[in-house]
Amino acid sequence: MARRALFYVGLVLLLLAVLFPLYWVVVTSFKTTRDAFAIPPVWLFSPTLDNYRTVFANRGFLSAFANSFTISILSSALAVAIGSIAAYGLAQQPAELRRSKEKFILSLRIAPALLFVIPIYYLATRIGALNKHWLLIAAYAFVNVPFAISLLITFFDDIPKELRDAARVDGAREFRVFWHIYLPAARGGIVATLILCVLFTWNEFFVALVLTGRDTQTLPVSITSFLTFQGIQWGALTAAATLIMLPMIVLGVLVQGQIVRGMTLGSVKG
Amino acid sequence: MAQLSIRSVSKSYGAVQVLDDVSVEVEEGSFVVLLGPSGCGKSTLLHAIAGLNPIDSGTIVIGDRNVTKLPARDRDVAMVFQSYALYPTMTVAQNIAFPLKMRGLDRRTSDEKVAGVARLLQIEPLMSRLPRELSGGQRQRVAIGRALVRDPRLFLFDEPLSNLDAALRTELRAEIKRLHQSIRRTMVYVTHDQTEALTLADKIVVLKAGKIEQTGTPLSLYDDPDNAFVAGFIGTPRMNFLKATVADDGKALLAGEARVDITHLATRLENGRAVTLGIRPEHLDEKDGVTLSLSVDVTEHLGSTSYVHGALASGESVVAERREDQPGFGETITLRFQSTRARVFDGEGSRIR
Repeated sequence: MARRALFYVGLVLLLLAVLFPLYWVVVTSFKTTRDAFAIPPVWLFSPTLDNYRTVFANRGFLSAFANSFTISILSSALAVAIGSIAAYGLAQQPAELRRSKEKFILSLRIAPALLFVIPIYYLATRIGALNKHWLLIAAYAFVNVPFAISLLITFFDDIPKELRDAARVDGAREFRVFWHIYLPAARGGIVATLILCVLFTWNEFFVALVLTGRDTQTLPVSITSFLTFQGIQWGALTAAATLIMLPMIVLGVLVQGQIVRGMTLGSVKG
Repeated sequence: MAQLSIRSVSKSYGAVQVLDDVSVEVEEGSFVVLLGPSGCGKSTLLHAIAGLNPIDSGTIVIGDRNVTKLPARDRDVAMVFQSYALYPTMTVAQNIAFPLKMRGLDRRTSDEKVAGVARLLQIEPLMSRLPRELSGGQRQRVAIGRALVRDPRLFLFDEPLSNLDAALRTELRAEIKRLHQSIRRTMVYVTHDQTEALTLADKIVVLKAGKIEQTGTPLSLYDDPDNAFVAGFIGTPRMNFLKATVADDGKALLAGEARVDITHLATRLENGRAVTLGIRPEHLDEKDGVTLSLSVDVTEHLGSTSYVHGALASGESVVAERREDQPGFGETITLRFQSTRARVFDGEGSRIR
C-alpha cells in the first residue's frame, strides 16, 4: 500500500517536472506583458490573443512554418524510402554478414551532427546551394537514414522469412517481394518511422542554424528572431513556441498508437 | 522420362556438410517423399530444388531444363510451407492470385483460375478473409490453392502438416493424396513423419546426415531395408534389434536362448561373428517358430491390437504386438517368429542378405 502511494507521488512529481514548463509556455502565450512578468505570478488572468496576432503578422514566422513543413515531410519521406529498402536488404542477410553493417549504421547515429554539417556547409557554399530547400531536405534525409534503417530492421525482422521464399517461388523479383509483401506487412512500422523522422526534423535546431539561408529558415531558427536587441518578446515567443509544438503533439499521440500497432502487426503469424 | 533429376548435389554450411552427393530421380506424375530425422538435410534439398538455396555442386534438372543456376521464379515449381507462409495483408483470393499476378496474367483469366481452385479445395466461403481470420487447416488449404493455381511442373511440400493437430493432419493427408490422384502432377514432399511417408509416397527417399540411406517404394523399405537405420526409422513401433552371434557353420544365429535359422541368406557368415538381428513387433505374434521369452513391463491397448513392452533374459528391451491376449506387468510370455522374418545387419548396420 505504502509502495503504491509512493509510486503515485513519484509519478505526480515526474509529470509536474515535465508538464509544468509546457503549461507555463502555453499560459504565458495568452498573457499580456504585464501579467507575464507579474511577481508573484498571476494564475488567474483574462486571456488575450495579442501575442498570436504579433506572431501571425510576422512574415518570417509564416514562411518558416512553410519551410519546416516542406523540409521535414520531404526529407523524412526520402529517409524512409531509402531506409526501408536498405533495411529490407539487411533483414534478408545472414546474421554474420549483417552485423558489421549494422555496427556502421549505429556509428552514424552516434556521430555528432557537427561532423556532417561542416563538410556539407563547405560543399554547399562552393556550389551555391546554401539558400536552397533541397539542401536541407538532403541533409536531413542523410541524418535520418541510419535512424530509419535501424528502426525498420526490427519491423522487417518480425516478418517470417518464409514469406519471401514463398513470394520468390511464386515468381516475384526481389523488389516486388519488398513492395507487395514486406512493405504492406510493415505498414505500421513505416508510418511510425516516418512520424519519428518528422518529429526529429521539425525540432532540429543546430543543422538548421548552420545550413539555412534567409529563404529556407525553419521554425527553430526563425523563433530566435523574437530574441531582439531591445529584449526578449516573451509573449510572442511563447505563442510561437505553442504553435510549433501543436502539430508535433498531435503526431506524438499518433505515433504512440502506430508503434504499438506496428509491433503487433509484425508478430502476427502469416 | 524423369520429371526431376537431382544429380550428385552437395551443399555445406561452413564445416557442416548438409547434403553429400545426393542423387534422386523422380518420375513424371509420381509422389516422392524425402524422409528423415530433423537435420538430415531434407528441407535443404527441397529448398535447393525450389531455387531458394544455392547448391555447392551437382545438377538439378526439371523436365528437360537444367535449372541449377536459375532463380526460383524461373523454375516453374510451386511450394507449400510448414508455416503456411500466406501473405498477411492480402485476402485469401489475393493470396491465391498472387503467383498469377507476378506472371502478368490478365485479370479475367486470373479470376477464373482462382475460382476454379477455390471450388476444388472447397474454400469459396473464405475468399474475402485475411489469413489471420482462418484456422490452421484452412490456412494450409489456401496455401495449397496458391500452389495449385499456377499449374506448375512440380509441386514441393515442406512438412505441410506439421503445424496441424492429429485429426486435421489425417484429414489433409488424405486430401493431398486425393489431389495427387486427380491431377497426377509430380510432387516432392518432405516430412519426418513416416506414417505420412508410407501413406502418400510412390517412392520414399530416406536421408540421414545429408546422405541417402535408401530409395524405394514404401513396401520395399519396410520389407527389405538396406540398413539398420532405415529398418528402425520405418515402421511403428520401431523394429527390435537384438545382439546375435553366428553359429553352426553359418547356418544359424544365436540370440540369447533363441536359435534362428539363416540358411535363406545368400551370404555365408563365419562362426562367432557378431551381428544384429532385427525383428518387427508385428512379426513376434506367430503360432510357431523361434521362441523368445519376454517379461512384460507395460502393455499398450490400442483397441484392435496391443503392444507389449518388456525385456528378454539378456536384458534387451523388446516391443511385441499381441493380438489375442493382453498380458500384465510381471508376466512372462513366449514370443514366436518365423526366422525368414528376421533381418540381419553387420556391425556397421548394413544389411546382410
